[in-house]
Amino acid sequence: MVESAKGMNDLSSEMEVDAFRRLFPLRFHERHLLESVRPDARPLGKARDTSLALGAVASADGSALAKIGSTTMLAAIKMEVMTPAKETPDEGCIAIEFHMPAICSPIVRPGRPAEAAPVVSKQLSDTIVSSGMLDLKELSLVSGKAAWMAYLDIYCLDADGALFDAALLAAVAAFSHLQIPVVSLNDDGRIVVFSKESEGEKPKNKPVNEEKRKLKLRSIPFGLTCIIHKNYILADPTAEEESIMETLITIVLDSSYQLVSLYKPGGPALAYQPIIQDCIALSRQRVGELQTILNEAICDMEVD
Amino acid sequence: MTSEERESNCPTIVSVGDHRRIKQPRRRELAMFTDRPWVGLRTFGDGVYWTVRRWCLQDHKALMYSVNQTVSLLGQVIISVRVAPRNPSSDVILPYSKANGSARVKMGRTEVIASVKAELGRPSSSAPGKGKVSIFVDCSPTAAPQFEGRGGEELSMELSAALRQCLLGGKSGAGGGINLSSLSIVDGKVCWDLYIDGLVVSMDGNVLDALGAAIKAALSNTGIPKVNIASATTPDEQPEVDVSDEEFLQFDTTAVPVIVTLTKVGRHYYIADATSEEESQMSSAVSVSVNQQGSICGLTKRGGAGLDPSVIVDMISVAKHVSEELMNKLDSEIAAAEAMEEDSS
Amino acid sequence: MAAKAGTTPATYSPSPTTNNKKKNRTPLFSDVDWVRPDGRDFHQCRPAFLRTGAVNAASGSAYAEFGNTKVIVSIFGPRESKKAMMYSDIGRLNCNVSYTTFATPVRSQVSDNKDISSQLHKSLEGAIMLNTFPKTTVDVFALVLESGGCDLPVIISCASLALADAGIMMYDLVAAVSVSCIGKNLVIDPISEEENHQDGNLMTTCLPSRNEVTQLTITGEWSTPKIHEAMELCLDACSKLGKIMRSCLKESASTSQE
Repeated sequence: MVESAKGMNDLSSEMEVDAFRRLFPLRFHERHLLESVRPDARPLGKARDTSLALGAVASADGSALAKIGSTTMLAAIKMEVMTPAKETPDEGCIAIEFHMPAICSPIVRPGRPAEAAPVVSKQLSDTIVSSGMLDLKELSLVSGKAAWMAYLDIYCLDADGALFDAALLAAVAAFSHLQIPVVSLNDDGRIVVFSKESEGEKPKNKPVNEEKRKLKLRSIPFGLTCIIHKNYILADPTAEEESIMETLITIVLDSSYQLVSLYKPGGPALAYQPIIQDCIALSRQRVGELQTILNEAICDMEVD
Repeated sequence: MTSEERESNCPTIVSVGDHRRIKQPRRRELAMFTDRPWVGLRTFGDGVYWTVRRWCLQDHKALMYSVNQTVSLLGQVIISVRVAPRNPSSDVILPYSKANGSARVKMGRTEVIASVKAELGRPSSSAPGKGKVSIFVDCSPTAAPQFEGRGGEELSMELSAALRQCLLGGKSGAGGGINLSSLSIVDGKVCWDLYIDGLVVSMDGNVLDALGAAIKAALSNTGIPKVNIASATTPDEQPEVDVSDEEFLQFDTTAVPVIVTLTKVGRHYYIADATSEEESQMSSAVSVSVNQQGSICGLTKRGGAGLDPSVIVDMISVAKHVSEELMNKLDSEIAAAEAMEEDSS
Repeated sequence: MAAKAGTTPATYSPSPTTNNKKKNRTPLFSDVDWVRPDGRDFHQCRPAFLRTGAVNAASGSAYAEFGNTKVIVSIFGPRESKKAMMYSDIGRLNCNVSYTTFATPVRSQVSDNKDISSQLHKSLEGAIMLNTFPKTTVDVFALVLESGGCDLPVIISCASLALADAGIMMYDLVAAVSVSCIGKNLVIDPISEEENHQDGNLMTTCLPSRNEVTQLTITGEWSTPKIHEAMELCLDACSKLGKIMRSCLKESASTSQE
């Protein structure tokens, strides 16, 4: 690297790579871009290695651990019972929250929530609701009386860029792992977990949802975040790249490659139409990858 | 007799002792503690002998006696222990008309107030036949300069947690000073919630022991109103409870443990009832709560320095000895204070 | 969110709250010869899985899994102390423990993290050479992913491993083990279910190679011989845990060299 940086600056020939990287981060990255490669040896349009494991949390009804590069997300769903709203007596509800605990990044301190957390939280729930992945009617238990409230909490365990992509992947994987507990209505009108051992009570309280233990997931959304810098498009940026080149664009496509959302929160670079089209092309490719990863994870789970 | 009188009657060596202590903090001679009775343990050959010297401040004169007693302690270290030195003078006061019981305890210049308030509440679903107790301590900004603003918060939290641990026993209630089942009124429906509040008014070391004593005194001063339950209620409804204004049930405090803190100073000394100055030199301190049967009901350690396990075992056995005396002392003080209150009322 | 936009309705967890079932369970523990729910011997610890370097963004980190108890600890620093802090010629240690909302069977059950954070601080400070990083702060942040009993001891052991991974100078690793007293029996490394029925608990954190106890907490009623017995058990288990932690560090050091 010292060799190739020579042309840029006289200083750089006398400098260690690491020092150059810290002192002139933008120049360091632009030098890489010229060669169409990134500091971690990835081509510009390639996402980092992605892995997915279902059922990471035993105490939750559905859970998943997603890793994109070092960015790690743990999502878990807990099902609770609520009385449905009057307007929608046959619908359950989902509540999605994204957390950035202090362990995930040096910039987060306990007691002061990270700025990014509520933004990603909102983006996630908008995406999941508008993608039409879930049918809230499936969460109904007793019409007008009881319905499921699915609490989905996503924890960022290690923040290294592309938080939204990893969080969305963990969230949809948690939903595909979700196993709804079998419950019955007891005499007080409360929903309790149906247990086969409870002797003598079986004839009285029948399970209300024996057939509805899995949610049918229709079009599953997947996201890809790209950096736009000059004419370059960098897919799946790391935290370092995000901090140096500030224009981000996030594209969410569903499994049939329909556009669910496109999010470009300002930034110094403008996104012209051809750039956006290139980004969408990259995401189409990425959706295919992610879908295979999700299917493999589900298969692994079933084999176990 | 007021505390001022008591102090003026103390041997004049007090000031000398304090003075010397500041100048030569390392030479902790036994004579330095002449204002406070102490017990010394000394090794002679294989055995360790107790030497007890005591100034009874009540009698305005220095009285000395010694006991030789072999204690099987490990090692040849010389350990000196001051025992129950500052008299826990507790006077039961009633400044809070809303509280069901309260007490003020002074140990030397450390002064704390504890109050107990009983309110009707709902038992938690995990323990339907039990009442609830919560303990909170507040450090008054007047007690020490570092408590101004939010400075006392950390200590308050630590003290509250230590008291809960020392007085409330294990999860099943074993070793708890307060019988939670006795606080239940209607199973699963109504129970008493006891709110125990501690306030550190003035601080000169050993606050935890003082608070423990104050809570014990406050509980024995606590009257819980008698309740009548309207019987004809369906099992679903919240039963109607009639709280009596006149009849009170006395709280049983025999099971409430006392807390003894031994502060380790230097390498071989542990001091009971340390003053602030002594605490500033501590490497670590162990607080042990002991009940009337001599069982350990809780233990916490303060201070970062590590201790050898055998030292902890020693400290527990010393704390047990100290606690007996403190327990007796406290019981008689409480009885005296209650008698006073009855006279005045 | 349909519901979130409006008023969030009150929800409850459909726990198996058949009361008679719970009452059946209690005598299980009070018998003399009961079997532990996970089939362990009374004096047998859960298998421990430890790994350093779980979080790349941190200066050091560790992941610990003891049965269902899963904890991640990240270390940040030594970094500049808060501006409001006074000058200090020794370093500061800042500890914080938090739980995920799904860590406990009932959602968001754990309320008081301050207490557990201060206990973590007390257990660690004696082992760290604070004089090696004057004027700065080392942050120890723990996240309990799943709470399955013995949370605090696992957090403490995991935190000391993370500190070692971050290259913070210590006198020794800190190993922590707790023992529950249930009826007449002492059970080591209890799970949540056992902790909910325990009569007493004794937790020891120690520096295994120096044979020093940095923290000891006891709750419940104990006789002196019982305390001795429990402490022996804990110290023995701590020294074994210390060895496991040491080998975990050695392993990670050798893999990073390759």
